[in-house]
Amino acid sequence: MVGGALLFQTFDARYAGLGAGAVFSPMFYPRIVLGIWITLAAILVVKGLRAGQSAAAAHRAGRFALLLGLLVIVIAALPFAGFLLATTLFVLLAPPILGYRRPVPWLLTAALFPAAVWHIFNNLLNIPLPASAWISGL
Amino acid sequence: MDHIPGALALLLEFDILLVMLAGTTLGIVVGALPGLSSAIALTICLPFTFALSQAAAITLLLGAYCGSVAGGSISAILINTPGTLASASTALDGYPMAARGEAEKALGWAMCASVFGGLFSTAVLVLIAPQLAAFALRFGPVETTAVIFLALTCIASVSRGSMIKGLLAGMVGLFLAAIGSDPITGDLRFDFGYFPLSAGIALVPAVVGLFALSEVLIRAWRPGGTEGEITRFSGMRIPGLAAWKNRLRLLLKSSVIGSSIGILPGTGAAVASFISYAEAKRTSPRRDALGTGEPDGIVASEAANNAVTGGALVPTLALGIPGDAVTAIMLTTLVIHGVTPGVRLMQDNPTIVTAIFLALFAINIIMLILAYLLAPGFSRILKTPPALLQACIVVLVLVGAYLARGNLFDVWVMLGAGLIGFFLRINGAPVPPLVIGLVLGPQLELSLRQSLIITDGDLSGILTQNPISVVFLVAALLFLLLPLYRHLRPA
Repeated sequence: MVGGALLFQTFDARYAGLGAGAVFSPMFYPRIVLGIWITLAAILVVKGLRAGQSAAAAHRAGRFALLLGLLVIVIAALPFAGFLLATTLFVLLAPPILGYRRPVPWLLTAALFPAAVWHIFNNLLNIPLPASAWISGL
Repeated sequence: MDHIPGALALLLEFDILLVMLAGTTLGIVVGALPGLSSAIALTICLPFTFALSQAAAITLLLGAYCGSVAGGSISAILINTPGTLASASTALDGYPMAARGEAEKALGWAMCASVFGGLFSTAVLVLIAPQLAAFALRFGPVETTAVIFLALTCIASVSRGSMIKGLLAGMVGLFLAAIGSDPITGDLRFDFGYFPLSAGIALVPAVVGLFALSEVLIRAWRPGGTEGEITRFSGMRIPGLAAWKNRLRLLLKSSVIGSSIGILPGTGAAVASFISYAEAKRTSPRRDALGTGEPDGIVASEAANNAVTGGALVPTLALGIPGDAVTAIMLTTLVIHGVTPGVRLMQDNPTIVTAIFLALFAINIIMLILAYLLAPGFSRILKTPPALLQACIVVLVLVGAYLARGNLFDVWVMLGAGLIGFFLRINGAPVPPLVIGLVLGPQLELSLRQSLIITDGDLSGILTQNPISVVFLVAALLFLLLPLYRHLRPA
């Protein structure tokens, strides 16, 4: 479906005038790729239907969703909170989501690892990581 | 030969030696941790390469690559859980040896075989890569299109999972590479009016997301496994020369198998070690003991999987075509540092190429020393809680994605790539074809369009006008038809 939508997009009016004077339109190559994409996906769908439904492997959707949600929040917070605060929040919350409960190693890692990475890049390697808009110097 | 003094001077700088040690150590440690692959070892190193010089960055990645392949044997031997898939066959004899109280000896066999395999394949790289590059100088757009097509079909057909899923992943990679400006006309495509997309999808955030982040997401998705019991051991014991005497033939044969398989795109260390193990099981004088703790099994598996390292670099350096995910990451880093692998690499950057060859020799020797020194600490390394490790990997992944171009849009790209990698993996589709498609996509499109200009838009001209391209395209067709033949062949 994604491939089909993208192929449909290549016929959009905004691409019609592109590549004037060129032997092939800029959409020539993407259409080939998307055409093969859709064909392969169709073969997979047919194969899947012929094989019938297989039992889904055991999984932990709740844990996955929580971790993904945390990642989205952390990435969205990077421009405001800065690298150090955002990643400290991540290392503080991710281990319990992943099922780790021993407080001393967990809290030590949350306190030290993001700070060490931040220090190495910002101060030793002179490569600035996103700074906090709320607290200067972080 | 003329460039050896310059390359040596480059490698003997203090910071290069330091990153060589750091990269190899990190590689051994990451390789030893179950489930963390060589690709993850390299993605962890990526953010640090932005602060390093050309030679230092390459040395860091080479150290991590070789170290991680060898490190995989540690957990295979000590907890019967291979650190990387490449060491799965090492566990077949390594763990039984450890279980009967010979873990030190098993580690010694594994590391020595790894070092021999690595040195042998580096010699193969030194001998073959310049010849292949010299031959490839004859390549024009038509031949380049054909060789990239061959690489993609080869990778998709031999990747784990179904060939169709592999090809589909490759197509997704090729499409993602087409986002941004057209290579011939410069017109913008698929930017959906969103400015950051006009520059296209950056390779580093995509690669980091596809491998490292998707691994973390997969581990969150799947129910946690039980951790293996760590065998008691005190260090590493290197086997004496008398013990090696009976196994030199096996060592050499396994190294030849590993180097040859490494050169073929898409095969990788796991395939090499299994084939080599099967060959040992067929021909070794001690074949009846294989699987019960016989050093031949460890030697066959480890010499072959480490011999892949040099072999895999042959097409990467000589043709600019990465054979697997690890060499794709390495190729990306080389490009970021202004070194373009491919037919002109040997001519344009002879000192860097010579430095890569020498660094590989040095890394393989350093690896043995480091493994010997680190061995007593392996049990502590293997006890690292996976949840803490994954949280730390995400921090480094964020750094790597952001530093690629210094913008936060790339961090979102990394998250998107992580989700694509996650969905591919839970559906049994291989991720490497996507990365290879992403890396080779721009070159494939450019070569194809240039070829069509040369042939006046006649697609059949690409197929028929040039004998070299015909050979590549026939080989590609064979790779596509082989699984079909196997499927239709009567049992």
